Amino acid sequence: MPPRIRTHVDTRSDLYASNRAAMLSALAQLDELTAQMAGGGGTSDPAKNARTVARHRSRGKLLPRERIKLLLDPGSAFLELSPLAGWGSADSIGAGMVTGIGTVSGVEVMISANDPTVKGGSQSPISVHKALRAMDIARENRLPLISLTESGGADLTKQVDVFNPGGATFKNLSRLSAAGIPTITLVFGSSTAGGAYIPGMSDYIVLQKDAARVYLGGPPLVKMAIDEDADEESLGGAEMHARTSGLADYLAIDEPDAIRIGREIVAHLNWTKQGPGPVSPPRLPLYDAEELLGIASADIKIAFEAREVLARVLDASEFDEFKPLYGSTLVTGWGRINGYPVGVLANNGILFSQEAHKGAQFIQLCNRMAVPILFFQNVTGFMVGTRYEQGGIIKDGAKLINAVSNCGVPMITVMMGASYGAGNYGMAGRAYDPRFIFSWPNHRIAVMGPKQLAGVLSIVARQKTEAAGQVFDEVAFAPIRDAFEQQVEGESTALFATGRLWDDGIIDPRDTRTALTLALSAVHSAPIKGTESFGVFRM
Amino acid sequence: MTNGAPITRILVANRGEIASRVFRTARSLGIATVAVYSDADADSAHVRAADRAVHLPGFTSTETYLDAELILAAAVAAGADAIHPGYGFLSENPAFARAVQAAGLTWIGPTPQSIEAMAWKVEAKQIAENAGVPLVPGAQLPDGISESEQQNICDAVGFPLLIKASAGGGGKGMRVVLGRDDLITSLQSARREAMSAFGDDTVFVERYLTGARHVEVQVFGDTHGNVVHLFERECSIQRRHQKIIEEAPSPGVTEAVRERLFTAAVGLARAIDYVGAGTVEFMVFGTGADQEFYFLEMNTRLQVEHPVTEEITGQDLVAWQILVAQGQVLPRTQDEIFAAGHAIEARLYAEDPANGDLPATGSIHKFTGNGRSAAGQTLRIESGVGDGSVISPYYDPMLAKVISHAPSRQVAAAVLADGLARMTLHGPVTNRDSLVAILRHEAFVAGDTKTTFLDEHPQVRTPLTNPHERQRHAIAVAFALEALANPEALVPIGWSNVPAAPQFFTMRARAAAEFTNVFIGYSRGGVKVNIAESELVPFRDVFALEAAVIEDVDARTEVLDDSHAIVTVRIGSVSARCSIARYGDEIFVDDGVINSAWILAPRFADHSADAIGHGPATTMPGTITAVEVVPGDAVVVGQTLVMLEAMKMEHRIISDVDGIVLQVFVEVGQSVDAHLVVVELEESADATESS
Repeated sequence: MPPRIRTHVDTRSDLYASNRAAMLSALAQLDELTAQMAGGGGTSDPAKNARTVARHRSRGKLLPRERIKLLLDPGSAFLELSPLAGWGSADSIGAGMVTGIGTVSGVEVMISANDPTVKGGSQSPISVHKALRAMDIARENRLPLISLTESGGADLTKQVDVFNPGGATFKNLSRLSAAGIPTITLVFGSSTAGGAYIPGMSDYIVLQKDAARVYLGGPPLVKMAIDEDADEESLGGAEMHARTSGLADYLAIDEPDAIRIGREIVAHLNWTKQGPGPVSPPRLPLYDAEELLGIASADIKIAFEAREVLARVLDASEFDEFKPLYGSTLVTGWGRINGYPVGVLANNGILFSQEAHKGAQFIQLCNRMAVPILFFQNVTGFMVGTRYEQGGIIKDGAKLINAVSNCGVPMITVMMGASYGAGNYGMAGRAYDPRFIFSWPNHRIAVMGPKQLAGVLSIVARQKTEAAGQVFDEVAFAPIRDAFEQQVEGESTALFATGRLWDDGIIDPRDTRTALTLALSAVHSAPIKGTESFGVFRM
Repeated sequence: MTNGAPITRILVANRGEIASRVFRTARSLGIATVAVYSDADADSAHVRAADRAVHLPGFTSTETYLDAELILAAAVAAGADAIHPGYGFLSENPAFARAVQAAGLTWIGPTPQSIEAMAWKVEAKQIAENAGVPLVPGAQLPDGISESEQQNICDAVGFPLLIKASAGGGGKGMRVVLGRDDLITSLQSARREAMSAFGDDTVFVERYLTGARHVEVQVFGDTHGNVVHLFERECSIQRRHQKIIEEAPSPGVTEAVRERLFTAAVGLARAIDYVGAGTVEFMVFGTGADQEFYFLEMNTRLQVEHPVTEEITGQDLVAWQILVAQGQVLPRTQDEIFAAGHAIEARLYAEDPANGDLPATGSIHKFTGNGRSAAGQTLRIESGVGDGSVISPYYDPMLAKVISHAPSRQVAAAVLADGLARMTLHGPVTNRDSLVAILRHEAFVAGDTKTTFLDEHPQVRTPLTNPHERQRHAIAVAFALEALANPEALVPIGWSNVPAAPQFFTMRARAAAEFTNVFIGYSRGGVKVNIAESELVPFRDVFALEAAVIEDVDARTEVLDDSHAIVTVRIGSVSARCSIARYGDEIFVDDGVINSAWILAPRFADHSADAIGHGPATTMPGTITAVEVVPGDAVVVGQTLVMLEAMKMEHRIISDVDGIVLQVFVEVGQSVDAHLVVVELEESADATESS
């Protein structure tokens, strides 16, 4: 039996209490934002949102999360992705889309739904980004994709930023289909112009009677282009597409009927997951996940023990540690989550050469045995300084980044504290294509810490001034430095990051095991295979 | 005549619980057993309980259990040397008794002469009168007399009166007529039912006296001239003249009248040299010194309710029957028969007391009378059904008799009510709740039991409805459904990282017209449960329902297998363990105190239902016995269109509009399913305008 992690957390300490208070306060803020976003309407004015939603309902229409609830099997979990995409931008929080993974007719699927109460479901650059991310996840993990479509098409005010990336939507649909991953589109309303290719490129199309409108050009455009007077039904009505054009495979009576048909299509897919699945029965950790709130540092300058996190995430808190005596700031080893075997890399501080060696070796081992890897990031970067540069920290860091870059087994990343500099890269940050990447609310991400960054800026400014033979005015520069530090601080937060889709969503630390289970289950929809071909490991 | 010869193998010309009951005693006496069964009963418990079984092809009683020739052939084929007729069917058919004896078999029952003497009720009354037993005023209705003559005879008897089938019993062919207006149609209907049940449509009338107790005396005679009584039973709680609760002794008979009843009953039995088990029925009026009684009839068979007598006397009446049929002397003399304690029997029927006792058909998924009350007292259960039994429309829908025996009446009633409430009864609707309500009713407990009990206390006919408990059960069902759908969930059920729309389940309590929508929302703070009653709405409207918040709810679910779960539902400070069993769309909840049955609404609407037509339709499967309209007829609201016989009862299918008959879709003799539209009507224009 693998060794069990023993906890050393003092739940009565002041640090624990202050961490917990800070985390709860951050979570409360998140809850407020997600509740506002999930309520629909898309603005910050609750009264206006309520009116929009009421108008939508008065047409007998469901909200996107209601459509999804009906589509999912009763009791199915739903892992919503990028829920706060668009935070901090001019766009609505959530970007008028709901994407996520749930179970439909016993099959884990990716669902991508427009929220027609948010700007009529029109697509901003962030909406496109979010939709494309969902498609990537569907493709990499072989998840059938169900689109619940009701959209006014591209947000024309932002067409400059939508036109090119938006085109990839249709290409991706086609490539999913080519990869044998079914694509199903249920159309509840408008899906016109470019939007018409969402159903157009799908394997299965369900159109709702008297509601779906699917055409390249509507009556005004047709009038302008060829001087034809045409009504909407003749151009793109559901009945027309079901009986005449053949675009629709199924004609639905109403929204629930469309959803019923969607469920039946999935039931008939004869879909099987290609991964090996769990290897043992699930066992709960020995320690309460609630304690993660007091463990994770609110002030990321204060280190915390990664094993304490693992003890609250892994099955039975069992962790078979690899190289425990070598490279102590990177914890590596094997464990299980609800029976799914995983390799774990978790930071216990800054990365040195030993840690880079250890991590690169461990990743190779996981690839050999075809075990997915979990990265728990809390890293301020690789060590700097003469001693380390001369010791070859670049060569060693490169080994870790090489291993991560070419890793064949799925990687899933949790950013649970700091994620600075090349440490982010070496620990499977967003740019390294982890299958899923989640962050905790206390997480900070940047090229380096705000204070360091501002300090560097200050030093560079002083050097520049003094090189010009002038005297550097420390006092006059202070406000500039502080402002910059604050700007970086603001741009390093978990919310800022999630708003830009640097992660797939902020999760409550207590939900880490659940989110990882759902991610691992999704990952196991595709075959799990390691690679044999890494880049040249610089020796 | 071979009565008197030793019996080695008994064929029971019956079905259900009584067949099983006779087999049990036969086995205890070292006698082998033979069952007969119709097509509908091929998988019945009584068939499995016998050593040999013989198939009687067909479904209806007439084709099978009432076909004397077939049954005799079965006895010969299976090597039976005796026939026990049970009750009902051929049990009081003298021709059959004679045929049995003529075939060289032992007839376990009274002599054909005795049966005959008591079968013709008018003649039976004459014999009773001669024996000095007081009679209720009544009259015969000879064949072939005119309607006005019939009316005159009935006027002389006086209203209200009761029409009875001369050949019958068990409430078949029986009608209460309150006044002259209903007389002729009631007579026609009674005759039709009598003909169908007994093959004889002769009826008679007698004064309908209300406020009586139904008290009967169990008598037994042997071929050596001995006649004894085994005390009385009271069977006043009746619905549609059929007993549903019987007890011994009677709580309302004075000691003086009791002795007179015994004397009268034994005297009547002696007058006809009675052999075997018989029951002399009386109506008892008044209290104290004013108490009086009238002779009603004598049943020349073992009664359904014989177990209460067995319980208080400790005797096996079926064993007595078999011993007497072999020519033996009665096992006990009168001086050796004692009564101890109080016994009550409840008849569990597949029928809906809240809906005119409409019989129910369908599969019994689970039937576990474990025979114990909560306190561990043993209940006796005589059952003809088990898990998987099918209640067919062809026979009486009695599922079981449940009998308690205790030192006092009060305890016997309480134990029986508790035992019934705790029985696992998953299947068609039953009268269980009604039985429990009766047994717990203060008037019943006080012994204030008259034949009008159910009319006076109609509340015992409706299901036990406690809205709070019903909500608790609905919540339990919702949690169970969710858990059953996710038996291998690795993550919390309904989990989402973002506030999601609530999970909802739409279901209907079996007795309710409204649907119950249960919404479950999950958050880290616990579950949030809302409930809304509604018409069956398209699901897009479900999320917009105004749903009441159920405050302070918690539910813990333990999945037992793919269709069973235990859900402990706490609402406020009180929690209850609800056992949930699912069979397709039917869900049953048992919590030890209250039981409920639910029909799960489909998750998605079936749009093909839009194509189904509307109009007067059959309420259950059965046979069309009369078609009273032809195309072109004008009909009014409430007018009978078609008569349906089902579950041995007649049902009228009436018009719900004033209008014209356009088409008739059925004919007499046709077997029909439930929900078949029988007639197409066009509502008349003026009726539409006025409505």
